[in-house]
Amino acid sequence: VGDFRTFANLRALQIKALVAALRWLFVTSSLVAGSVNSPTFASALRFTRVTSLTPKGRVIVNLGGEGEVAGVINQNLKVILDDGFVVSRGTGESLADLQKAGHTFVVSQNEFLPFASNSVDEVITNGVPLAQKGEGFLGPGIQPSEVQRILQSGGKWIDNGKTIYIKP
Amino acid sequence: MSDFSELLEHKLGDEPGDNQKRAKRKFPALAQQHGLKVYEPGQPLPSSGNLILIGVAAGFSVYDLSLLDEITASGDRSQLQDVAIFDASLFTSMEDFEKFIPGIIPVHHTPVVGVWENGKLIAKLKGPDARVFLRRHFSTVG
Repeated sequence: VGDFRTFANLRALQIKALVAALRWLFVTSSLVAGSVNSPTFASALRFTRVTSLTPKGRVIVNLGGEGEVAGVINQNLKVILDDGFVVSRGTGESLADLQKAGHTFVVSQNEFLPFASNSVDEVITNGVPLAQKGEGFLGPGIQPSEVQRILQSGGKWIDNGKTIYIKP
Repeated sequence: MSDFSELLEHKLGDEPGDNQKRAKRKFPALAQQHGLKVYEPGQPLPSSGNLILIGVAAGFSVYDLSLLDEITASGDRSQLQDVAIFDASLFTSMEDFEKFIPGIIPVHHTPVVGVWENGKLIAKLKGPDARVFLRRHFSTVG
């Protein structure tokens, strides 16, 4: 019985490790290639708890806009996959250049951010529109309701370098 | 007179997005204070001389607004006589850009720039290229 329990525990651990690894891969890299553009797909991803990428174990997300933030998850619209889209404001680098340099990107609609509720420590926005449906030349902008949903209690929203919201 | 980049400052008690609405509302008056003409689609373009039409996202891009600060603070203010400006953050679709600068879409990044010489559109630029052009033209960089 002891051997069986040990075997069962080992299998459970292996499965857990596999699921965690797949989740990490899915959220941090493969989304760029797959492009999350359907509400259904993105909704399903809402329940994915992101494995932290920052050294201090914090989940930080930079939403939209032109320009990447190093060491965090950079979310943007499908348009960043277009040929000639210059992602980096500072250096003019393309998405491929930035991925090669180790930056992480996630592609999704702004209305359906692919992060679990209460799972993010900090949201960064720099020069991005907070536009509703029917506004904005690139479609709906960042939705405050989505930022509030993904932030965990005590999590901060920093817009253009200033904290504009702390989740109660 | 305020700087353009101050338009997007957050004020005590603001809800997220309040600063952007305020910036859109205040941008035209501030542009005129700085000696920039605000261009509306359908307005006649000059048939002689030069015109540089600049489109910025005044409602959300602090980068664009800082660039306008650089331009308006640069040496020769007589250059601004040939400049007109519009706010692309009010647009509801990509096609809206065409009413201002024909042939400019697709636009992924602002600012956008159209250059007319004697009534003829001779150059159109967007994003990083437009920023480089504007900084060189207005000598904000060495």
